[in-house]
Amino acid sequence: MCGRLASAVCLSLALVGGLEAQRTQIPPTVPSVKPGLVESLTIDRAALSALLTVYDAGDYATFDQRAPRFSRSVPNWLLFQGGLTAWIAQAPSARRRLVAASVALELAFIEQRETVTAQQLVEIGCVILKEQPPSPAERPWHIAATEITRSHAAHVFIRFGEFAAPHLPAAIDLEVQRAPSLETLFGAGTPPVWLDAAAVEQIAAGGIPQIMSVPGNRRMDRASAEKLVAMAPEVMRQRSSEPNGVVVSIGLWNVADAYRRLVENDPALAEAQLRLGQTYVRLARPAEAVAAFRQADLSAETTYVRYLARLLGGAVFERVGRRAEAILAFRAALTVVPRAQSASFALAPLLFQEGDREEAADLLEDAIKQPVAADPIQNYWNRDPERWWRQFNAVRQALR
Amino acid sequence: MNRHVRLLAALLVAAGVDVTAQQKPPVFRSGATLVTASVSVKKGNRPVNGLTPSDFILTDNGVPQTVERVTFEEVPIDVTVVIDLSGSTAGIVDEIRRDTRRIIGFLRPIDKVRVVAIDTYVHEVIPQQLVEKKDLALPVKMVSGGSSSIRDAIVAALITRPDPERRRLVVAITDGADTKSVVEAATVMELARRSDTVLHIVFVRPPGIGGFGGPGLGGFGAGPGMPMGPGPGAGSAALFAGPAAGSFIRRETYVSEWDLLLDATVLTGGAFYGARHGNVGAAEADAVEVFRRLFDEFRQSYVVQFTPENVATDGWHDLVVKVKGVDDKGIRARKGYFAGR
Repeated sequence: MCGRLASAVCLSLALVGGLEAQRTQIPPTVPSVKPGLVESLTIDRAALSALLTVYDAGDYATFDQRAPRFSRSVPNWLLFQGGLTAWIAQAPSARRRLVAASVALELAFIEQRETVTAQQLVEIGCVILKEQPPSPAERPWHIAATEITRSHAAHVFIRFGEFAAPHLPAAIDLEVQRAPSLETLFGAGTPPVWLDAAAVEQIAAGGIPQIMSVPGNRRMDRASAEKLVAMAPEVMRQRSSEPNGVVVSIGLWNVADAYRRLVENDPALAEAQLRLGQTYVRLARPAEAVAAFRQADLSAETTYVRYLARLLGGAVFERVGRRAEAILAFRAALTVVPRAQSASFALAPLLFQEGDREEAADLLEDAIKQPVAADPIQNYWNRDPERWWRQFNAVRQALR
Repeated sequence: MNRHVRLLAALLVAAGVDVTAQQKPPVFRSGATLVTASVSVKKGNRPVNGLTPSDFILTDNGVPQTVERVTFEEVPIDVTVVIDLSGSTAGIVDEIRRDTRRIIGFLRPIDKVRVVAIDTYVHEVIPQQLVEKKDLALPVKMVSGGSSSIRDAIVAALITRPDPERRRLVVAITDGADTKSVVEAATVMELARRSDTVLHIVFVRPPGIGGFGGPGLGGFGAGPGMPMGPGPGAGSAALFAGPAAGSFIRRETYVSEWDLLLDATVLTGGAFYGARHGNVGAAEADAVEVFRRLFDEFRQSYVVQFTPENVATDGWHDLVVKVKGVDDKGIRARKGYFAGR
């Protein structure tokens, strides 16, 4: 019988069959052998100019075909930037600047989100746009740019003031800063440990020395953490190789609050639900985590969110010893992305230990067969690629 | 023990030289659970031949058992070679490929080989096949990220479909810097208890990178039980704004995790070769020479069988095997078995 927590997975399983196939913008598999690329560091200005003109004309099919060639040469920033400004100078206009900035953005996406190259390309585009007053047409560009590099959220705020869309990247940025660096799917090494009120009282009774030595994997509710900080404010300035559990707890509650605010405004914001769930995992709150993963699964519009909600939910079940529900959740994840290695490697040992040796072997044999399936967990910090494509289409739409 | 072990025992007895049969007829016990253990016996570097059941002293969870049968046979072997083609071994990829070819060269036509490559993902680059042609195509390099899923690859090698006609050997050639695995070290340990595959790990490392090679060689001054890496943003991951590139990734391997992995090899009857943690100056392991030795040893092992008596019928059983007149150091056998499933 499915328990209350498992019901989300059961429901999700039932939903899977009826869902329309999601459009997958990322390659479904990972190439096995590296092609022998010879990278060029020179910029063919005429070709770049032609590329910009193609983009300006809305011929995105041709652009998509030609653009990857340029992504390999953009590390030569100055020449690339010079090529864009030369094209704008041929007939200066707000539209031309937006086109040039958008091409830089497109190449940034091809390059890879969150890489130095991508960040540099976003910066080049941003500099071009700042040469003119802010315009509504520019907003989708900045939102998409924030999807590529989260730190761009600050630029958006400066240029436009507060508006809703970049809040998720900003919250993710906070998550990035506060998430423990030793994270694994199952949290081995330093699994978070919850301290109840009595344990916190004991720490408080020990005074400042006790507060200053709370291990980094201890978690407590916000009020308790704030009480301890009030008793020993120096804990916030503590310099040590391991962060203090009091400080980590406050940081993670801030992340949780950021996501909670987002899902309160838009309960269907599945990615925020997903990340709220993982934040609860880090806070050693498994029941809240499972509830958030359940909600993320139910409101998921993309393969990325649905798969990760089930995978991470399964990991929580396994951590708390609910193996049957973990197995169910991992199986459900594999219905979303068949052969995905993270769910396969999570599930197979459980099956093996349950005596289902043949199924475990079959599962792993499939998972490692070339080409292997692209695994959404590899994009956890790079965010949902399908969401990026939506923003990216909005940029193209704004130019029409 | 399970159906697989019983079948293995039956086939080995049928195909092999049943030294017991030369002395007394086999005794079949109705409903008995036969346990099979592979035991290598050496004096110095030379295998000891001609042993009979009475030469073996075996305890199961500390309870002395009667060895019923001993066979000595060159059985077909399935070898899985796990090669590390992640970013940290980029400087020695050619050597790893060359060594892998030489390793395959030792196998006999009756043996099967499979090659599994590690990077961010685990790739079966050569599916399991009979060793008919020695010059199998190996990949130049992988593309899926440059991180290392070592434990995942080992699990993929340990969890195999039962085949009672064959014995299984896994040799993982890696620098040990696991940054990406889903499977935790404790799980590898648990699987090692239940798997009938023998696991060997050979640590290799690129020249001049003393700090990134073996377990504990992080070069970041970590003490026992501490993570060995510098935290997020280290190395190539510094290109990324997140705590790590893309997904959950750890640039650290805990010494305790390494110890578990090393214990897992011993549990299966295997071993590890190369630098232990903290021993940066240790001699490099020659993966080919290691394989040649252990393959010889493995194919010349005794298969010892007994029916457990006066012990629990499920759970983990500690197994201790001794041989009269042979130093314990010359005996290699798995350290136990998991009964019940």
